[in-house]
Amino acid sequence: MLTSDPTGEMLRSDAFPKKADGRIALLQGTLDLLILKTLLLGPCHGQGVARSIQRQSEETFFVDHGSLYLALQRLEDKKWISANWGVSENNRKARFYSLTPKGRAHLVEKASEWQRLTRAMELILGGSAEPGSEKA
Amino acid sequence: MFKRTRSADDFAEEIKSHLELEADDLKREGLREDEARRRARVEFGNVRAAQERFYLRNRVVWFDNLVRDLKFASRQLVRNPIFAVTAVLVLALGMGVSVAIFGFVNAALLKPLPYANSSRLMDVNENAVLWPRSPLSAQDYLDWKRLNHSFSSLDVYHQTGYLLRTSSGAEPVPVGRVSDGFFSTLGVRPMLGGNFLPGEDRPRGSRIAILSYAAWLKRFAARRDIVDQSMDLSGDAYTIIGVLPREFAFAPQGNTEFWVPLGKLTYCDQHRFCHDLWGIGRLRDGVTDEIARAEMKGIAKQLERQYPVSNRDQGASVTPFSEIVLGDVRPVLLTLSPEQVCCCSSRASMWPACCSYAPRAGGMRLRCGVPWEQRRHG
Repeated sequence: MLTSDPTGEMLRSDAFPKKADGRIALLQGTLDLLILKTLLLGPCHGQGVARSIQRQSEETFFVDHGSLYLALQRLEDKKWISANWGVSENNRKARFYSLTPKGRAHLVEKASEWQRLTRAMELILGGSAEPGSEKA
Repeated sequence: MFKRTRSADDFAEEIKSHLELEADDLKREGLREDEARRRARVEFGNVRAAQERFYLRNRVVWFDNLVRDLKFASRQLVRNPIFAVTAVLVLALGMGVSVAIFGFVNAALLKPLPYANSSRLMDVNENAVLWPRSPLSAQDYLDWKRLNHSFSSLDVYHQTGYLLRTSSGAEPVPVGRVSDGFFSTLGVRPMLGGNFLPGEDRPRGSRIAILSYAAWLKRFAARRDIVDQSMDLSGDAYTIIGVLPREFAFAPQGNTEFWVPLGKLTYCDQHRFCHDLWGIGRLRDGVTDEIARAEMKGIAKQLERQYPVSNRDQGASVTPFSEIVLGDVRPVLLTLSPEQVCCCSSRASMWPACCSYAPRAGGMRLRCGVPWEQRRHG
C-alpha cells in the first residue's frame, strides 16, 4: 500500500543537515536505537530525549527534532514505547515516553548488532593494512 | 491502516510543549526570555514540515488526494452551473448510448445463439455464380438430405404469409413453413404442447401449427388450454399443437407468428429450378465444416451431372449459422465500442475552457506555502 514516507525519517534531504558548528547528523536507523537506549534510564519527554542524546554523545550528534518526534511516534506505533501526557519537573505539560518489554527486547537485539557492526568497521578503518597492499 | 490513534492536534501540542521545555532549559543556562524562545524555535527547525510529515504518516496518499479531488470537483461544478449541466448531459447521453451498445454487443458478440450447441449449426444452401448463398429448391433439398453423411439432421425453412381469421375479420400473418425436424435441429422444444413429428411435413400431412410466444400472448391471451384448439389460416383449419418458449428467436424470420410443416407442395416446391427453401443442418459429431462443405459440393456436382439444365453451375455453400445471423453486424459493433472513451475525453476537453482561472489559483496556493499535497487544489 502506498503510504508517504514509510520510514518517517531520512527521506528528506534536509533531515540531517551538517551543522556549521561541527556536529554531525545521525545515520539512518540509529535514531531509533538511541531513543530506546535513552528511555532505558526511565520515562522521558521528547525534549529530554533530544537533550540527552546530544549530551551523551558529547554534543557530537545533532538531533533533527522533526525526525525525533516522528521516530517517537513510529516506535509508539510499533508498541516498543508507550506514551502518556504528564507534568514535567518544572511544571510544564509534556508527553512522557517509557520503554515497553517488547521495546527492551528489541533494544538488546539491535545493540548487539550495532556493536558487531562498529567492531567490524573499526577493524577495517583502524587496521594497519595499506590500501592496495593485496596486489603485492 | 485507517486507525488514527493520535490526532494532529495532539502532535502539535507536543511540539509546543517541547519548545516551552527547551526555552526553560535555555533560560536556566542564562539566556534572556525572548532569546531563549527564539533559540528553541531555531533549534527545532521547521515545525510545519514536522507536522505535515506527521499528518501524512500512514496515510493512504492517493485516497486522501481522491477525496480532495472530489471536493474540488464539486466546488467547481457548483461555481459553474452551466458547465455542470452540460457535463451531466454529455455523460448521461454517453451512458445511455453505452448501455444500448452493450445490449447489442452482449447479444451479438458475447452470448451464443439461443440454441443447443449452436456452434454445430450450419447454414447449408446452394451457391450460384451471382448468389454466393442462394436458397435450395425443394427437390434438391430432398436429394441433399438423402445423400449426405455430414449432418445428423438437415432441415429447411421458408417464410410466407397466410390470412388468419379472427373475430374482427381476416388478418395477414407471417408464417414459417418448415420441415418436420426444424425445431429438433435447433435443439428447441415447445414450452407448451409438442413438437412436429417425423413425417408430419409430407404433402398430405395433417394441418398443424406451433405458435410463437408473442402470438400466444397477443392472439390467444396466453391461454394454457390453447393446445389442440383449432384456428383458421387462409381458409384451412389448423390444430395448434404447441407454443414456443419465450426466449426462442430465429433471426432470419424474426417476426414469424405461426410455424407450420411444409405440407402441400407449392408450385415452386414441385420444380427443381425454383429455389425458395433455406437450409440449416447440424454437423454430425467429429465432422468439421470443411468436410461438410466438400461433401455438399460433391453432391451438388453429382446433381448437376444428373440435371444439367436446372442445376447448371449450382454449387453448395456451408457456413456456420452464427455467421449468417451476426456476420454483418460484428465489425460495426467493434468500431462502436470505443465510443465511451470518446464521450469521456470530450467531457475532459471541456475542462480547461470552463476553469481557465485554475492555474492562477494554483499559483496563488504555491506562493502561500500550502504543503505540496494540498497545493493541487486544497
